[in-house]
Amino acid sequence: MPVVCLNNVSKSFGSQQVIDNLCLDILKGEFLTLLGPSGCGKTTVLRLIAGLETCDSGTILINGRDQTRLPACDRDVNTVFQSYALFPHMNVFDNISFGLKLKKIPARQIQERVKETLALVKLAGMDNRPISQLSGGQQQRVAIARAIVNQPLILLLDEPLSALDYKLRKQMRLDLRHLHRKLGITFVFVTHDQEEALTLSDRVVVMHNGSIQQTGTPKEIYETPVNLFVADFVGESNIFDARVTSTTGPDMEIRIQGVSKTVQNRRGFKKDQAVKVLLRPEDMTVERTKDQCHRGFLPGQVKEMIYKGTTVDLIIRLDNGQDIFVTEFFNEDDQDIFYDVNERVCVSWIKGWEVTLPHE
Amino acid sequence: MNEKQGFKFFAVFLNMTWFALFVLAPGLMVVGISFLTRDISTFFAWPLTLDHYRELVDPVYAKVLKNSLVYSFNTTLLCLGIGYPFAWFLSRAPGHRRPLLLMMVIIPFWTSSLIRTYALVILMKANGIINTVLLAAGLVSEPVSMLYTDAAVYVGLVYSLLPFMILPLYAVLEKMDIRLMEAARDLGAGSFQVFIHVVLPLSLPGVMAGCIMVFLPAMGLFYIPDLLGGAKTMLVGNFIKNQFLTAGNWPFGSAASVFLLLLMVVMLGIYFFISTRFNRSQES
Repeated sequence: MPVVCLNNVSKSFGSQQVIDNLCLDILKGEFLTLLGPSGCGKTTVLRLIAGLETCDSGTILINGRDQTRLPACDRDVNTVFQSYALFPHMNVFDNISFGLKLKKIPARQIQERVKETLALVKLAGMDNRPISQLSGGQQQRVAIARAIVNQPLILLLDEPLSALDYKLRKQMRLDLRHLHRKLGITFVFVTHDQEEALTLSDRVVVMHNGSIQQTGTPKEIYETPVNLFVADFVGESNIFDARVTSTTGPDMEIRIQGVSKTVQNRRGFKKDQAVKVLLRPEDMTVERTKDQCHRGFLPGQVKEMIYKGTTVDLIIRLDNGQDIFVTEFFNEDDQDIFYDVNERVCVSWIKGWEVTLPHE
Repeated sequence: MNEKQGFKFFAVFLNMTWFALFVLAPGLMVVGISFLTRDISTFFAWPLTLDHYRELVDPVYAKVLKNSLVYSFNTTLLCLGIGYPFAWFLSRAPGHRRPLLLMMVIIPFWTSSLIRTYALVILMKANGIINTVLLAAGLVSEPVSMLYTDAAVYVGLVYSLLPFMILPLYAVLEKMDIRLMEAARDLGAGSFQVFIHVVLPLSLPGVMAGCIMVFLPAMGLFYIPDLLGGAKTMLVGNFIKNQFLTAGNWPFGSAASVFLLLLMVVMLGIYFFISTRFNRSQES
């Protein structure tokens, strides 16, 4: 049974529809990420689960019980806020013990639990520090501790890493995963950072304009996006216009920039249908050429070569004027991945690595 | 000296001159006179003496002081009780409606508070507006005596000083981070607990500022007890006024003024001490 069920939930602020008939089941113990650009409604979904916002229609079930109208203070859910929202007039201990004190838990037990939690977030011994004397990363940890010390059914995290610098963010990601595994609590994480979503989550929910675009594992989201929005928002994509020229069993012939190529036909496309072909930069192969390209290769010219340490990124202008982005990895078989600017090349990919979507 | 510096100098000079002429000089004169001897024809004369300060300790005057403190304290409490909810709703009102509501708090300032006190007299006197309405409505059979009671004095003091409580409270409550209240709710706090544990402690600087701004003037507003309380209620303000205008004892009135001034300085000192400590614990 899912720990949270959002059934046909809608919410508007004034005349603006923020959540549009959204359905989502969150499984017990999973790390679920709501991913989307700012204004897509992901934070509103989180606030609806927390009870800080009430939906206009639909129901919210938490642990099987209808809690659509239950106030935030009575829900077994805790939030780590984007700006941390730590109480400035209290020290670390008082912040973390806030929820426990309200639950009238005996003082000795509170002491113990706060101490344990502080150790868990690597802040042991910081009990008496005023909030103002903590660094951003430490405040972040206090905010997490303040929520998890209550041992909630669900922990909601609203872009908790966005205020940290890159290095700290990477460290906190690892710590969050570790914490999730150790506590076994359901984590619902909101972010607009696709890298964060892919590295942290068991499941990713991609949102756009108040509705869900795709739900799946990070691998599914990245490798088989269901529409152009997901493909474009998650990771880099090269998108080509093409037309189906013939279909044969599981494969089909497409005409792409005047070149014929055989690709897989996973969605039952018909002859003469217009399609979009998506390719990740690392899924493309580049060949040097003196004159004509082989069959299925698109001719082009190297515009830019960017050395990145572990990879080399190429910007290639195809002969029809479209710029594409290709990532080549260093490997032992093929040392020769350095290209000259303006060098003529041919670009292709291995059949089946592409994603074909209907023309929108 | 360029133009900008010239203007800066001019602006500061003007302010300092104003301050020196109309605040510092009269203040120093009052302090000076408080050490002189009473004189019927010239108001004050040599020699220097500490008699007036000694006189102030007399139980009769101590009672006036105690009386004033009680009035000021109660007025402050009443203003806080009315002003806090008012400032709260003001700060939570929709943004576009707030300027209008704020104006309604401030507009009475545009009329002299003496005139507004006379207006209260017209409202409250035996054949005044309130009694006329009550009699006409048949709610009372004879006029209720409102004027010249303790209650009338409190009505006058609270009415005049309420904006001084509302404005500093509004300033802190309006700036209060809503997310802190949400965090408290999220952690299991009901409305009352959110108020007690988060809103109230964070609004304390505003509470203190408001209390100071009500308490101190309440000690000196002599015409409100005079007009609304009859001459029965004797507060420090009335006492000073009487010494200057009725008894003709300028040095004694000055000594009382200096005493009141010192009392205020001490209270402001305590306020700044506490508020800087409060700020330090929040920022540093």
